[in-house]
Amino acid sequence: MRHWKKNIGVIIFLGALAFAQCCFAEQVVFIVNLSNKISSLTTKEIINIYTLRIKTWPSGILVEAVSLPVDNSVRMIFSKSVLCRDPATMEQFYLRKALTGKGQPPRTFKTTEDVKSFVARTKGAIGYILATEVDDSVKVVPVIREQ
Amino acid sequence: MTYAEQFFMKVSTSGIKKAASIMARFGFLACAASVFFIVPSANAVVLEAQDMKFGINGYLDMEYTYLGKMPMVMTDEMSQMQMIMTKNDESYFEQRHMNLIFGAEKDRFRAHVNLGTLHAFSTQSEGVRDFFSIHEAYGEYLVSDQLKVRAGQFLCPFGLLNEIRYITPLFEPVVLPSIYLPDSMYTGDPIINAEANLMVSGVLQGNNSDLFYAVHVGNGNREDDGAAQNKNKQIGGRLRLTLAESFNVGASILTVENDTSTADRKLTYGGDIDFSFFNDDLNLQAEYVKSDFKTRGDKMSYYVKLTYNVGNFSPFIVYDYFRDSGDILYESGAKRIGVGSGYKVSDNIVVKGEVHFHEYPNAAVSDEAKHPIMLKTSMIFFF
Repeated sequence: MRHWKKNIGVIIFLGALAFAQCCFAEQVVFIVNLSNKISSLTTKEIINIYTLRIKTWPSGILVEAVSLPVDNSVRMIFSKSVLCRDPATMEQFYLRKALTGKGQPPRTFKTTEDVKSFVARTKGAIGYILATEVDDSVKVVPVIREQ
Repeated sequence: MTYAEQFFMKVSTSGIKKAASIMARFGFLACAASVFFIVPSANAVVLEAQDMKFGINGYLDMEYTYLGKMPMVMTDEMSQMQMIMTKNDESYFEQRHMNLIFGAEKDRFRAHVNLGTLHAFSTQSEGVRDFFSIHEAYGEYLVSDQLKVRAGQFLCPFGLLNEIRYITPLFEPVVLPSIYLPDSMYTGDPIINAEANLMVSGVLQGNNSDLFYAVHVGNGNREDDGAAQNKNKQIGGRLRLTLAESFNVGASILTVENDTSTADRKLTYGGDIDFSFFNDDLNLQAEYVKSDFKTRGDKMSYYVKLTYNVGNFSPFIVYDYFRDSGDILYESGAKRIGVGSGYKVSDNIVVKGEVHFHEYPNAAVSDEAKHPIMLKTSMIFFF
């Protein structure tokens, strides 16, 4: 019995560790160029950027939003949790924007590494990657969730 | 000429006519079928360089129309008197739009060109009715989100649909509301078909609402040969307040001097709402537009449209009213109730079907043309 109690503690610990790792691994963060002075963004601002409504930063620099392919799991998390639309629906949205002349869709990169690299060398760029992939070449912008 | 030569000559001349007629009618269907089988998975062409984006999109639609016995205005050549007649019922296929849209962005500059046909092919007229033309071509400079400057030839923002009137994949019904009818389907002229040449616009963002504004000027109406009809040009504007993500209220105005000899200005103004609820699945659009023109009489139109998105279907019902005091047919007004649905076959193909019930209360309209029915089906491929 004591042996069982000892094991359940280990199981709970390992379970909690796995859960935390899973959550942390799936946390998507927004990154901007190191020169960007923005300190935080609201979800509304991010939605406005990725729906092509906001095209300049408060400093006047052009926003260069970048994204990942439709079938990318990170894009799926971003699209559903922030934009509240699946990537396929967003593609239709961008198609409509292009047809009406309201703007071209965000630049798409194959991997989060490419996104990070582009953001690191482009002044007005904003992208999203996994929290575990962040390094010193880019700046992470905290997101304030609005009700 | 031998008997055999005469025989083949006879066969070939009558055969060519028949073949042309058959090809005209069935070529359309062949094109339609090929769209389904060849291109369901096409995507837009997007080219990206380090600091430039270039995209090519397009759309192609084909329509089938059945029109019941409709009233129409005829002018007697001798007396120049107008009278209301009844047009026979008719049905026809039409390849209505075939457009390519080019968009380019570099830094703060943006260019947009919509190149295409309108009524490219129709079995009603047995042939080509229009050639490729540039519907829109403009350049835009983004100063900030609050200020953009656009120059060129473009459909100006007026009401909910003027800017997208040619882009059929973007609205549910095949037939636009009477306010926007792109051609004289019902003998009366459209109220709005406004193009502008210079515009400043922008969005002022608040915490809980956004205000879009636009002020534009243009050449106004033109003669068939392109010559401007007026010297004082056209000026207009639009305001749209977005109160919540899916609740928009707008107002538009447009004034243009149509005739230099009478110096009569046409003033067109209107209001609109666009409201989506239940996770954007239910959409309500309503618009009212009035056009005052002293020497000709005013035009007025409004409509209310309710659309519900359920799966790949988007059924809708629309009530439309149109009155033109300067037209002997429409001076008593005309009502139309349309019911139909769009169906999304794939991400690139939409099929639409609808029936419209008209009512012409004008006493001069014959009984058989008082309540004509119109059927419209359309298939649109876009990428």
